[in-house]
Amino acid sequence: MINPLGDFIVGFGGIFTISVVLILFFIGVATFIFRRTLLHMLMGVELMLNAVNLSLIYFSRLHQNFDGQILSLMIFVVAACEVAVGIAIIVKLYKRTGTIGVETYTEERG
Amino acid sequence: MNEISFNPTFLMGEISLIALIVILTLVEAFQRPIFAFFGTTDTRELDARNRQASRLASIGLMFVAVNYYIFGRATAGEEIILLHNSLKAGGGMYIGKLALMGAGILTVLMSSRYTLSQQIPAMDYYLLLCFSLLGALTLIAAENFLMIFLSLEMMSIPIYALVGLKRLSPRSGESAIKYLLLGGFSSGFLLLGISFLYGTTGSLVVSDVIGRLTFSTMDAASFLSGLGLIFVFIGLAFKVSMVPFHAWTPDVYEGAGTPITAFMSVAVKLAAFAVILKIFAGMDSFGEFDSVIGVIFMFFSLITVIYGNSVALVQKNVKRMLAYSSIAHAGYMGLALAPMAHKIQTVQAVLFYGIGYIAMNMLAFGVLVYLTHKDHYCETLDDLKGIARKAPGAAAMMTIAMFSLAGLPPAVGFVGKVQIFIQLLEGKMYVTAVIALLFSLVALYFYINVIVVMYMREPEKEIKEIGKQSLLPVWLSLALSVLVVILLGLIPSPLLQWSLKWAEVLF
Repeated sequence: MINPLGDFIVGFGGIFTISVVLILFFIGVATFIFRRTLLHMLMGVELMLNAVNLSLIYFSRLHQNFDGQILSLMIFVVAACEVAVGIAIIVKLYKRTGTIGVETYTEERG
Repeated sequence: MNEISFNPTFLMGEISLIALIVILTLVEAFQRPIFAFFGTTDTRELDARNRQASRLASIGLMFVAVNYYIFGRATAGEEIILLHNSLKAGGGMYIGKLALMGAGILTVLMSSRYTLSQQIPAMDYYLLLCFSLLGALTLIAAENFLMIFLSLEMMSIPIYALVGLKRLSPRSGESAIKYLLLGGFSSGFLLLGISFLYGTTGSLVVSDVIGRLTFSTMDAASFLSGLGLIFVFIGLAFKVSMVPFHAWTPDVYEGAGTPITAFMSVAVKLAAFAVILKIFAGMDSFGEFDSVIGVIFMFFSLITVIYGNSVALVQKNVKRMLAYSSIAHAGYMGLALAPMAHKIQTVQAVLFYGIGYIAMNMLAFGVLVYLTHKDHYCETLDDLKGIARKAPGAAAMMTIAMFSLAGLPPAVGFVGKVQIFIQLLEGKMYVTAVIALLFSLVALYFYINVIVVMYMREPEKEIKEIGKQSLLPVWLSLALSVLVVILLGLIPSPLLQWSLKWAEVLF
């Protein structure tokens, strides 16, 4: 089997795209870890998923098949579902405590 | 293996489950006129509606399982790949799907009491549960990374909502958001891994991806695909709660309603483990990278066993203790993969353990559901003190569950553990086996402690009468699971053969 990556990883486009993807992804991770409100953490997750979408679309174009693009469409759908459930839970929590800071929600330990 | 675009008999379980979901949705929408037609007196009262919903859901789900039991049996002879490389069906997948449906039925049966005592709107609850079950069923059959991702989310997202559905407890919302955020975080990693694997191989079909991976030279492609595999492992290890991706487990298990905890700890774990086995254990084309994966599995599983068992020692809350015990059990299942010999028996051992774990954990949580009623949470060890006098039957059931979880002889847990240790010894991993064995001795302490507390301690406060509402379904679920635990412990060979068949499908 010929390794397809040999051709493009050295090319500027490949390196550039993968770097952008990784940078975006880890900005998402950093948002998730360091911003201490629930909405920001949800946004961090979204950023991670969108970084993955970018990489999937790039690879899909590279391999000339549509699997990656279809997966990225599915990711949009699933991310929307996750946000819908997440926001509902956050609203419920906000009604109870009046804040969405994470510090409030660390009662459970152990 | 022949490629057929669509053959409904192979997907009988899923199709009938979807039909049940449609029926439940319609009943939920037109609840009042339907229940009035069947002669319910007060349709507005939550309790009455919950009772109807529980009856409908448990009968419906049993019907689904029986339907699959009858029609699926014919498909167990051959295996096919359906819907353009998305789903594999037939063969030994039969037993896996039946086990998951069994977990669903046991959950629904014990939920009928729990939704009443906790004032949970039951119809929404059962709908979400059925969706989650559907996700688990397609997850173990998934043949394609797209399907793996979709089913994983279809299994998880309803559970995020279910965890938050417990109205009376302030903690359930917290647990739900914690699970949701960490779940999203981990599926981000899973997807990044999938996209890297797709990038290096140009395909999303699992067997193609693993077949095309090459680790011969340490160039950029090998680096990227190695990274991809690691990210996929992280994403899945989160779902089965392996250390260090376990942080959500105790909080979520404690905050969620007890039947949901039971479902989460068995069905999600088994389904996610089936995927791990499919990706990492089934193929042997990792080349020299193979031993590295074995070492990774050994390392993570061993610290999972050590951590789970030692932290469970100090827990005062039974649900929390069972959460740490479930972490430890995930470790035992992972340990079988450590030799990385790509033997079918390894996969068989893990699957057998997973199915046995369904029965014994359902039993333990079922007893907790049985003892919980309107104004009495039965969650801590103090609540269990002297319960043997008030509810001797439940105490006996709990004893059997604890014996099985600890891995003592007459129960299924013993056979499962023996299988795992045989794999370790055949792979010549003596040190690992000894450490694992040592920590399962440590685990004896906290399992036996529950029995001691139930039988030999005086209750601190007067134990209230066990509420009478909806006792029959709970008893039914307890009886079913205790039967499975004992029978499989005494006669394990049929299930061993079936799990071998399932392993053949995963390979």
